[in-house]
Amino acid sequence: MKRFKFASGAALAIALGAILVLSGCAFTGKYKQLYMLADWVEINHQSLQARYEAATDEEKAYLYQNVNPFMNIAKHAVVGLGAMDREDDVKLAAEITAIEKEVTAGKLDYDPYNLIWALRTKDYNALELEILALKRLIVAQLT
Amino acid sequence: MKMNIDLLIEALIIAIFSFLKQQGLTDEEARVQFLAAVDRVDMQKDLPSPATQPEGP
Repeated sequence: MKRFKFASGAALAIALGAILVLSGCAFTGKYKQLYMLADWVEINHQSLQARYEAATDEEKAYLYQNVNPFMNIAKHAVVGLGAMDREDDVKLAAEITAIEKEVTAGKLDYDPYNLIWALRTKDYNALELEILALKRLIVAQLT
Repeated sequence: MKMNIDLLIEALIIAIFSFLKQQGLTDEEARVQFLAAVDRVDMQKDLPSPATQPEGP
């Protein structure tokens, strides 16, 4: 459909981006990986905002209901990642609660169990994979 | 089709730019950059709710 004709291109690009991130993970240090991940979420959120502002009302409604909640969850996950690194358990708990609220409020067909488990157990590797999975979900919502 | 290509180019530039930005950093420098990016993500505003459509008669 015209509204999301770009989806296949975006899916390919996101897949290529994920390959870049994962290949980067193979030969870079821990914080370089995390930096790439946080940077990527930041830029993609900006991109979604720009797309939202230029969208028609119908597209806006779709993006708001179907893409925005997953982007918000990805943001909370990245902020939780930072809280883990800073050993800020209060902030980490707040991000976990925010993810749970986002899933409940959006009535999403998404089980946050693995993501929340990764945050609770402070498992960096699992969390990275969950954030990458969220990105794939965002692309799926665009198709 | 043009939209597809535009988006492909845009997303690729984002991915490559993101990849290149962390090249040449030490892991400690990358940590500083990572935490700064986390703070920027934390500050990003949520999308505004779409305007409610007036109901018809």
